[in-house]
Amino acid sequence: MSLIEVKSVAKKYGRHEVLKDVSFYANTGECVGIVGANGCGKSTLLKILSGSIKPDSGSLVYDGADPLKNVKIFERLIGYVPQENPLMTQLSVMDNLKFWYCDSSRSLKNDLINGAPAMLGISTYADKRVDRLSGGQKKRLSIACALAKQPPVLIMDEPGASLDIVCKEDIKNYLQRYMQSGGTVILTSHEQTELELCSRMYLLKNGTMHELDGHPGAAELKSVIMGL
Amino acid sequence: MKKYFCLLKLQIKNAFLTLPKIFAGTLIFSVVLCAVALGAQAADKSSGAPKMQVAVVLPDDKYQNMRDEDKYVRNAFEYLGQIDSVKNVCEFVFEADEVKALEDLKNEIYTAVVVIPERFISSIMNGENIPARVIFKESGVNVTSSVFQEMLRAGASDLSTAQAGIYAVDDVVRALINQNGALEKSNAHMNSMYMSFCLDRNIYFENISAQDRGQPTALQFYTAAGFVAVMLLTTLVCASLLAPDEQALADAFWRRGISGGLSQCMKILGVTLVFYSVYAVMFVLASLSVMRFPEAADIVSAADGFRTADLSKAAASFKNIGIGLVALFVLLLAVISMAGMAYRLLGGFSMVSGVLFLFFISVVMMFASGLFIPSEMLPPAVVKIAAFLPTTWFFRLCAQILTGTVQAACVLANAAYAVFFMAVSSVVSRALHYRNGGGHSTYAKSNGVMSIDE
Repeated sequence: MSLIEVKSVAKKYGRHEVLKDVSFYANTGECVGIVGANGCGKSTLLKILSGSIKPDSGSLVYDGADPLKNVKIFERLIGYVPQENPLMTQLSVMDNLKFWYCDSSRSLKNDLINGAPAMLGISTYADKRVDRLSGGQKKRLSIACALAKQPPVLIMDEPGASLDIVCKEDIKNYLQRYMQSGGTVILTSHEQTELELCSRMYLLKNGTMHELDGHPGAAELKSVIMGL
Repeated sequence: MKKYFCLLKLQIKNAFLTLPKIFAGTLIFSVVLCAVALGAQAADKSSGAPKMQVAVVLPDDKYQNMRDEDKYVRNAFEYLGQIDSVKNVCEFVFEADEVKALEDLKNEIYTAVVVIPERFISSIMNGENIPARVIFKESGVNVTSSVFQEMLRAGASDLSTAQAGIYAVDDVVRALINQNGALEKSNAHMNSMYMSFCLDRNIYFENISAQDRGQPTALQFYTAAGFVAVMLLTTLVCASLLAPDEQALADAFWRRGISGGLSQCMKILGVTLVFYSVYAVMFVLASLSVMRFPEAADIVSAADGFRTADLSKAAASFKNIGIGLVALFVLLLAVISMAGMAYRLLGGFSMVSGVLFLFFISVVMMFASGLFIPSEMLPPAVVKIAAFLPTTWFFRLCAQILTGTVQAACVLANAAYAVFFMAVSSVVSRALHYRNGGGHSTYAKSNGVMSIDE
């Protein structure tokens, strides 16, 4: 059985039907990539998967259970990194981490030495105010916050958008380690380097999901998305 | 539960990080309000009708006792000049040269010239009564001249009443007392007494100290109004603290079981504590300063008992300060909650719209509540509406804190406003969450979401 199973999920915003019939799955330790044109509903799908919004219909099965009935499963299984960083910007990096670690079984002190925050390089600027960080530093912090409870699934919405190459590489390296330790990643992206991480890829188009064969290159991906 | 306390702690910390900003805002708005008040006072003075100038020509120094007589005349006119009804319309200018004074009268510099004759005072004392000459212009006599004439008649009437009294006493003393010097002494005493009575019109008015009934004095009224205005205006600098969370953060909180309303309430509590740390210190210092500077009790009479040696009164003052501190917290909570609600309602669109909205409703409500001009000058319909406005209750509680007459009903009214504003913020947060496609109320409940609208 797959760790994540999504069946016939649909979502409307008013009359606009963003998702019509979305079904896919993700296994433990793999990275699933979702591609599609801007506005095709990728972010909406990830919000549904993370429990931020509710689908109009369809079902989710996480680790054999229905999170829509027992919604604590979302918090236990899912770490979510949205496009915009969910950070308290006037506080320090440390304060933000404290909030996400406050009811975690993990020790922030230890993690700043050899956990996700350390691997993402956050320890070096832990005392800085968030609104004084660069975009890349904020994104690293968002990922570290999402991983505070060490969830087995990490959902990321365009993690590399507007980041420099070094930052993208660091995040990519961390995701590889995360998957090696058994973590599952679901991400949306337009970046070829990030999509290289994916073991399977889906195209979201006209509100439905289509599994892509293999690993399309940049040109091929473009023609698939544009429907050429 | 841990996450709620952790978030509350962080919101309080976040608010305290802006303490210098809030302190500076309080200071700046206080200075601005004081400047406006002083400017308005100055403008009021300068825009008043010009006073009539009346020349008082003193006699030449031919007689030995003339210097003393000059003094009496000067004193008399100074007395006159201090009477409210006179000083608002008339100013006396002493002139030594009668010709120059008359020339100035022709040139319309003076409204009238009062020429004091030689032996003016002594003639009053011995009953000879040499009259002073009051000269007006031959032509162009107008309302101003008539007003001065009426004033003179009123003054002359007062003086003649005084003189009648003096003569009566003089006759009585002559008839009944034959001791040497008794007549002169009684004359001098009666002169002094009658002159002061007839010139000091304050004795005709009843003095009422409204403060004893718990009503604020004029100084306390404007101090309380100023404090409420400064409190409300200073919340403008807290826009970034009280503005709603960005969508991504709000969603993240929601996933952790913290509703937008609860997050907003935590922000309000944090900002309230920061304001409280400023205002409570000010209140305690002002109260304690009454011991050293009793004049401060004109503003903060909550600590009035410190001025006396009476221990029971001093203990009552301590009690008043304690109650005042509790009431101050409730007052600030209500004020900040109103600001929080304003930012929640419009701050989601942009910070500027939230600030403008708060500024607009604050100024309009303060005006309607009679904080700028007395309620008596406002239309009756506005006064009726004002009874339900939060600013009216903010002001009442502030005045009660200053006068040491805090009433439970007023504290409860402010607390009710605070709860109402926070409930509105919470409902709006929830409505916006659902509008943005959010849901999972079952998720929120099973995660123990705390929300005051549930």
